[in-house]
Parts: sequence; structure tokens; C-alpha cells
Amino acid sequence: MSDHHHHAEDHGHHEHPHVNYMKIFWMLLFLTLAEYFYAMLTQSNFALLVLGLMTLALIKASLVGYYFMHVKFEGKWVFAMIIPACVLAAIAVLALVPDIARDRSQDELIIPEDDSAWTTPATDSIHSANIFKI
Amino acid sequence: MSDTAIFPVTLPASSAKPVAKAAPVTPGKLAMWLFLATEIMFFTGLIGSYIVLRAGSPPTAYSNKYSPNTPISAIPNPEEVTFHKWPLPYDNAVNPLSIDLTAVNTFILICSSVTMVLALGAAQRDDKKATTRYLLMTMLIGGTFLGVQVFEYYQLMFGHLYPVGVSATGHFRPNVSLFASCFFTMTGFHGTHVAVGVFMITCCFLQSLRGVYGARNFASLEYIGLYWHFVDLVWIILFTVVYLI
Repeated sequence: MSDHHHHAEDHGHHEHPHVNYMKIFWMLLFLTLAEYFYAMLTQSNFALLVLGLMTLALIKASLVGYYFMHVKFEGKWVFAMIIPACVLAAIAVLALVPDIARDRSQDELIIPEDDSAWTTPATDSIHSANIFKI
Repeated sequence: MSDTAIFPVTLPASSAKPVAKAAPVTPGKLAMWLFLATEIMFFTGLIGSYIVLRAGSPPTAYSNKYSPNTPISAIPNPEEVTFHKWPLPYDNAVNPLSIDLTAVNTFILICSSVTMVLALGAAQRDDKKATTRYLLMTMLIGGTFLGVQVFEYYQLMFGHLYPVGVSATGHFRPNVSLFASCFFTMTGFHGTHVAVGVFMITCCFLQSLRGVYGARNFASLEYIGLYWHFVDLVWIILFTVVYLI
């Protein structure tokens, strides 16, 4: 490899402390099995299912991030990458919540007596606005 | 014009050669983390859309006796039909996904993450043989994950005939329901990421055969490892959200 890489490693790399990766592996295996059986046992209670499974999934994801991706051993700069992305992603999902709240099954379809609303919706704003009564 | 004419400052002898403070991170690693930040946004967009579509799905969208999205007005005996807002896991009448197979596949991907991090550790210890061995294992295990996913897709789209509650045609394809299109979009994009990862790990493996990686040269291995672990991390979330919930 080039000298550039040697240079980069000399100045940017911190020697990672020893991690027992097999221990993390067994923890991940245990959590995967726990998820599998938990999902089987709590099918009837959706809230319990979501809460338990998301907790287990986030613990697993954190283990991968912290130990395999070495987030635990990096400087604070790595959180400057992760946190803004996660916050913006959360905002993006929250911005979609109004779409979730709108229950489309309650929309009442009103069929106009003549065909004008279907054929010329753009030119007849009154008809086009009344096709769906929300 | 000389520098002394502009900055007529005489530095003491001890500071004649200023020492640059080492950067906390290499440019390559910073670039990879920035890329992963965009990937977080990408997959959150997919998962967020899935949540919206699922939550907004009508309560009668799926049933055990009629194909997805059959209008309630077209069902003559609705009291004899079990309706669902969204296909529930383990309900074979409306959900064709095999949780057993995918749980095994999740385990396989976790194994590949372990071998990848062990490959990096071996390179840092300057153990070139172990680096090559672990990279080969990662490549094979990652390829196995892809193979299982291709098998799953084949079974869903061509290999099996499913009940009418899954699909009107008997095949589970992206166009049969909103659930199907969400499933194929999310797992398809993830599978593409895995394929790209396997390709890059194969390149690393070929490089390691030439003895490229060692204690003084493991930067690219670390960057590709970051990508690979991220793909594993995303799958942990996807497996839970798409298959188990």
C-alpha cells in the first residue's frame, strides 16, 4: 500500500484495546434466539411484541456498533457523524406521522351524479374538491 | 518579497519547526462515516415509509379468504372472514415469510461480522495468514447469506403457491400487495448492499493473498469492515421490523 496510508495510520489510528469478540458473538446469538422465541410467545399482544422486540433489536444493533464498528474506542468526532444523521432521520419519520394519523378507511367516497367531476376535475374545482369527503 | 518583510517576527529556536497536532481520525475513516451517515438516512427513509404505509393500511386490507385489498363491498359474507390491517407473522393464510429461515440467515450475517472484525484484528497483529483466512470466511458466509436470500425470493415469487390471502395469483411478487412491495423494496435494497459488500470483501481477500495487509497497512480493511458491520446492523433492524412485528 502507498506511503499515504502509512502516514494516515500513523496520525489517525488509535490502537484498539483488546475486545473479546467471541463474547459479543455469543451475546448476539443469545439475543437473536431471545427475539425468535419472544416473537413466538407474544404474538397476541402487539404493544408488548413491538416494545420487547425493538428493545432487543436496539441492544443488538448497539453491540455491533459499539464493539464491531469500534464506536466505543473512537473519539467524540464519531458522534458528530452519527447523532445528526439519527436526529434528522427521526425528524423525517416524525414528519410523516400526520399521514399515519389520517385513517383512510373512514374516507367516504361520494360518487357524483354526473360524470363531470371525473372527466374534468382540474377545471371544476368545486366538484373535484367534493369527490372525497374527509 | 521575502516572508520576513511581511511578518517581521523572529521565532525562538525551539519553535522553529512547529509540530502539527495529529488529527483524531484519518480522512478515509471520516469519509466512510459520512457515507454511513447518509446510509442511516436512506434506510430510515425506507423504514419510516414502511411504518406510515403499514399504519395507514385499512383494517380490512388483508383477509384469510380473499386476496389483498379486495373491497369490503365485494365480500358477500364479511362476518365469516378474518380481516387484518397488515399480515401478521406466523399467520400462513396472509403472510408467506419464513421466520425460521430468516432467523438462521440473521445468524449467518452476524457470523460474517465476527469473522470480518477478526480479520481486521489479525491484520493489526500482522498475522497475514489469519487475515486471509478470516477474509475468506467472511466472503463465503456473506455469499451464503445472499444465496439464502435468493432462495427465499425464488420460493416466494416462483417456487410456492400461496393461499389467496397472500396473493390472488398464488405467487408473492412485488405487485401483489403493499406488504409485498414494501418487503421486496427493503430487503432488496439491503441485499444489494450485501452484494456490494461481498464484492469488496472479495477484492480484499485477493489483496490479502498478495500479503498486502499487515500491522502497517489495514486502513482499507477497516473501512470496508465498517461498511460490512453497518449492513449487519441494518439487517438486525429489518429482520425485526419486517419479519417479526
